[in-house]
Amino acid sequence: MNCSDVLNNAIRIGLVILLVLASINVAASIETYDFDDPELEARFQKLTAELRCPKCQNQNLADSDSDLSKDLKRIVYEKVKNGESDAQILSFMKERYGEFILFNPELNQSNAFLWAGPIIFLALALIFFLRWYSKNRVNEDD
Amino acid sequence: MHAEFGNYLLVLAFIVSVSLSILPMYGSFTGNQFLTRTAKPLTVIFFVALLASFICLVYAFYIDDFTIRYVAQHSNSLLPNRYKFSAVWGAHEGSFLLWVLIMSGWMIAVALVGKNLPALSYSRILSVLGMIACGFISFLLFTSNPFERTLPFFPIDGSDLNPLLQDFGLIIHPPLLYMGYVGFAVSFAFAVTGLIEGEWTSTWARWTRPWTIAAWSCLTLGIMLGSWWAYYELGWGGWWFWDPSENASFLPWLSGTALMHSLAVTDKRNSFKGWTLALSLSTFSLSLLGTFLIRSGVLTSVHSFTNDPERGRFILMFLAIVVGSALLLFLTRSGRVKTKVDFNILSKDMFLLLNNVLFVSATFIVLFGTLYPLIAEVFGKKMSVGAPYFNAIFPIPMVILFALLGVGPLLNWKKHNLSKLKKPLLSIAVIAVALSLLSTWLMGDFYLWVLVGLSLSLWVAISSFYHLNLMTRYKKTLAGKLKSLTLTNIGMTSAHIGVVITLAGIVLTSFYSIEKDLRMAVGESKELAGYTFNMAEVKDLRKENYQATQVTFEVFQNGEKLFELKPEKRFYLAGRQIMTEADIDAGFTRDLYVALGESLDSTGKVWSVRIYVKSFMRWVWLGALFMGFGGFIAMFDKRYRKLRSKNASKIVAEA
Amino acid sequence: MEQKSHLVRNIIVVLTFVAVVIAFYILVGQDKTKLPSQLIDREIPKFQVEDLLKPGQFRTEADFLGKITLLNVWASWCPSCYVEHPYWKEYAKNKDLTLVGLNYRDTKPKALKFLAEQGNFFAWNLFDKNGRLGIDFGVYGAPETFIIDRAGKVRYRHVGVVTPEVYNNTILPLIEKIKKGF
Repeated sequence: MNCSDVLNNAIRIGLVILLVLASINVAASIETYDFDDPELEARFQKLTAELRCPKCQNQNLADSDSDLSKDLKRIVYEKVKNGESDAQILSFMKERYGEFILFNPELNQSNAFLWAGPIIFLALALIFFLRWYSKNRVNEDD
Repeated sequence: MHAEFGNYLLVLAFIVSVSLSILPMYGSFTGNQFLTRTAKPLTVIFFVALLASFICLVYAFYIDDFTIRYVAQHSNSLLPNRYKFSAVWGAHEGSFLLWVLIMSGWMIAVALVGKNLPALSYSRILSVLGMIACGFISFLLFTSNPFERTLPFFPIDGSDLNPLLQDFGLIIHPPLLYMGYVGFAVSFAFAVTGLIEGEWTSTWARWTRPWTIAAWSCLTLGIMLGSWWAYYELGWGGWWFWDPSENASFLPWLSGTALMHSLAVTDKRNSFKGWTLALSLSTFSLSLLGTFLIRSGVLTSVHSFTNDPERGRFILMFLAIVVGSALLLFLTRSGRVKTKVDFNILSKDMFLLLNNVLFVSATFIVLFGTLYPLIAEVFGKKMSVGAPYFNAIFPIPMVILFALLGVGPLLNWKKHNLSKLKKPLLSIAVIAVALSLLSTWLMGDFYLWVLVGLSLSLWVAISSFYHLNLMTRYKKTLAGKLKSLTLTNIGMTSAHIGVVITLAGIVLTSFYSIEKDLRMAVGESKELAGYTFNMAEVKDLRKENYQATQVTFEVFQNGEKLFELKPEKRFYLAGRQIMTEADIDAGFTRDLYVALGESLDSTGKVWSVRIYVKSFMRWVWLGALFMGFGGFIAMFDKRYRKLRSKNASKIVAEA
Repeated sequence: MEQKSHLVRNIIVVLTFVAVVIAFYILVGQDKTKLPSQLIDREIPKFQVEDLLKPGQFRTEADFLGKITLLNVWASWCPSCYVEHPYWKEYAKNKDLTLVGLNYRDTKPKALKFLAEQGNFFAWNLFDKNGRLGIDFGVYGAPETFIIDRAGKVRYRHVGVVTPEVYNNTILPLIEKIKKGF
């Protein structure tokens, strides 16, 4: 790389950073979603907390203020109000953005290892420990 | 000038660390007294060089030297001075310089305090620490040099520190957190030296204990501050997201907690040496792994550093060398350390070991959940593992752990006769459950998890006080009772009470907090959980480096005005970023939290507003304070001091 | 005997460690922000959306049948779209390919201004004002580009600017493949 390349790159990077910064809004977003039924509101809050904003680093829809999150939240809001079930809403999202959008991984065969792994580990750890104990136990009561 | 000087000092520190990794170690094996004794002076030079280098960077921020790339990218002439200071560690390069500085701080502490260690071990420990420091500093010099210049085309002004980080929390959170992360390097170095010498005895455990406790306490407080910062600064009212960066700090914490308990067994009973060694090695390895995960961008995290594969590969190679050699050393050397199993099921030994099994399982759960998306990616699947997963799995080992914690401290080493304990334990359990039932009834809604969490909290808390009482039963006065307790006992009780305060806080705030997104106009009032929030006034502010719109909410309860909350929407001038600044009234039983959304009409008098009533929020961090301070008390126990004042080599002979 | 089992254990532990390090090494360089499309080898969603330049004329999924389409998601607020747009002039010369634009989450005046200033190389443009069609396509950021075959099935999705490199190395071979009937 020669000098002008470096400079060009620097300018380009600088421009991109500027444009990105101009469009970023780091603050938490709050739009209002009115519910008459507190149960629906609770479901809405739970769903938006369990759905991941597809374009953010690692944020759920509730906390994110990207435009896409706002759109998706609006969709969740409408669907909750229209009486769709949680499962329907989650599968709507999954069809479009894949399992990536689900912060709560589905309990199914392909995720069996994920869900069972820690429990198997815990059980094995306890079993091995107790077996080791009973095998190596030496009685030297005084 | 200062930039070059700072850079030279880094190079000097690098050379010193290389010498420190080689000379004393070589000397200790060849019997060269002179080389062996270089450990201390080299450590001192290393520390001084880094400190001076760090001051150079601070100075560069102070005078707004935008010819330095790092300063230009993370500061601004409008930035208030206190934030110019904390901006030094506001991003990758500077924070890593701080990291290395803290590493050298631990090293000099070992060099000064550990004078009474056997001369050879002393030099070897410092030498091992030197090797680790050498890796860190070469990472800094070769991939992340904070003193790099932007010459010849330097900007007139800097692009500013991320507004999220312009905050008191950032001034203290990273230093404490890093003290925890890096502090485990000390127990790592002790373990490695012990393995090299092949003679890891209970004396070694006693030497390691205060260092481990110190690092653990710093990490505890560091994590707590991070959680608190996220809560008030991000405006989401959340305090733990199970984000990879949080998990990265939680992993060494969990493993370090296991280590502290295992060290107690090895110290008191001279057993489980292999296990304790393994934990010493893995705790610091997890610190390194966390560093790698966060700084390489392998995992996407809310607060990730800029992703640079070069850096990631460098840390990975460093990690592979450090962890790999520790692993090899452990596999080939630890076989000599044999353990005698001579305790009953009902004994302190057993309960401490179960604590270890459970903490290791908890560590595994967090590690597994954090890395699972990467595992899935290797198999071509893109997925997320988030808070709901951890919230479902993590409590499993924790419930068992807290149940055992109510009994463990009461037991004797080796064996215990249950008959004396049966009655008091049963009454404690009954009282705990009864009180929890009463409190859930008082709180209104019933949740099983709240009942379980509160019962466990009370179970441990009452049992802790019972334990204190039992230990001091022969003393009549309170002063006498207090005097008869060792610092270890006070520290331990404080930490145990702390962890259940946190537990109670977690369950209560998770289940009884209320959140509302509202549309409000000036003059309008809304009621939430018995509080009336009246939107009184909208006002524009102009501060040093931002403009803000401030909305005043008057909070009433039973018609009486309690106080005002003034959340802001800020516009930071240099970075052109918009930020929400929540306002919080913190209370012992609840926090009132108001954050502004967006202005909903052109007059600026109508806003979307998010209001939280967070039950028992403070308890989560209050408990962590108890834990951290408990640690700081325990590390000053006479038990460790005695050891130092005696002739150390004599102790080795005794053991 | 015990020595031997220890050796085996040690070798397994070391090999596992090495495997983990290698796996991490491979993962380090990868872009974590790219999401795979859920529509690959599936038909595009059903929709009815107004044409950006011909108000009153509605387009549907049927308009994608019988030809190979490159659907580009763009917006006037998207910085990279300005970088990408000049390339379409070149790619439009490819007679095998119909370029279609999807104006995503934009306002009409701004979108029209964008096309007026940057040129319009698309056969037609969908006007997805509120972003609903984008969501049906699984769009998470502009620019994105879909290659849709004659049967209306999505064959490929690219996130980010379609540079000549992407075009020559990925899209052209794919078009050849589709033409051959795969």
